[in-house]
Amino acid sequence: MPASASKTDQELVQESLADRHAFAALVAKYEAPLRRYVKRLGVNSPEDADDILQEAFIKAYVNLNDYDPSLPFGAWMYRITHNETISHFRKQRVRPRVVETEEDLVIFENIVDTTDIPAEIDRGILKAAVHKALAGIAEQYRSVLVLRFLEEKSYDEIAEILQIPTGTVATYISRGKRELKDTLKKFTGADV
Amino acid sequence: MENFSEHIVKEIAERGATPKPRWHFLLKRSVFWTLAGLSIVIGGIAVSVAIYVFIDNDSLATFQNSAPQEALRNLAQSIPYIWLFVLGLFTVSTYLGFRRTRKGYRYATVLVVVVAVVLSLVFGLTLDRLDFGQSVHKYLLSHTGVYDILIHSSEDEGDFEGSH
Repeated sequence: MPASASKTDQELVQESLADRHAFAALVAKYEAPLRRYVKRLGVNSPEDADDILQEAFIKAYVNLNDYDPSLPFGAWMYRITHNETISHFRKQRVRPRVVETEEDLVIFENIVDTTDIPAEIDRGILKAAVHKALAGIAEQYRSVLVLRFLEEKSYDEIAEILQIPTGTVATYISRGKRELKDTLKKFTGADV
Repeated sequence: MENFSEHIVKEIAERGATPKPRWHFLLKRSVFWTLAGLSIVIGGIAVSVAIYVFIDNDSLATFQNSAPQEALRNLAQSIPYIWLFVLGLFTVSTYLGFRRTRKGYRYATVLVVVVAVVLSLVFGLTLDRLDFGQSVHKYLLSHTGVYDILIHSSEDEGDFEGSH
């Protein structure tokens, strides 16, 4: 087990400020969840995901002294990566294309638990519909739904990542679920 | 084959990237706090002048003796819109400055705007008691031509604000 594994993020940040090689431990720790997050936001190309992550980590390194140690380092990294991803979509002028995997259904199943959407619709139809619906809803709603139901972040963490008040997070989740439900209704033709 | 974390460290070295110093961020945050604070002060000055301009005119004195329609028209003409506009402008500026501070995002827009207006009102009322609004108003009247035009833009429509 590497020595860095027993250190806290805050300790690793302090070490990275003195020696850039220590930053590798933070990159190794957060690369996988952030890569998954970028993909869930709609970045399909692995090369694009690499570029986004590279820029996000370098930006984090340059701004290490701006990190507030009272908050989780992960949330700070998610924020930087989120901004970098949104900036990527704007630069490329492309709409996000949500990857069609079993993961798509997770968001639906998690939402089903908190709404009155019946879950007995054919899974094949549902999968395609969730895929289209997620890509079709407004960016801020997609972000909160992904963070809440796929990344399983708390309201406070989402607020920190998106830099919005916690009350707004709750509003976006509620509206996002409604928008997703309405969009699903269009795609499945069923009364979801 | 080099892994991703090694690649990032190598890329940092190749670009010659170094962490920005702590004072850079302290200065940045100070700028936004100063902007927010200064905006409340200017908003307060706007309130104090607005109170002075609103109270110091004939239409209020003759309000009770006028016909209701005329009284309302005179009242509407007595409102120093330019100063209310300045208050609005600097309330927005307070919000923008505060929103960029480290924890500014946590507070709802409505709450920040209401608190900024209340602080400007409290500060403005204090300045009014010290006759600061009157001093600013008279100073601007005697030193700038454009203020006279702005503050008396509706004068030709009625009797508005006699004292200079």
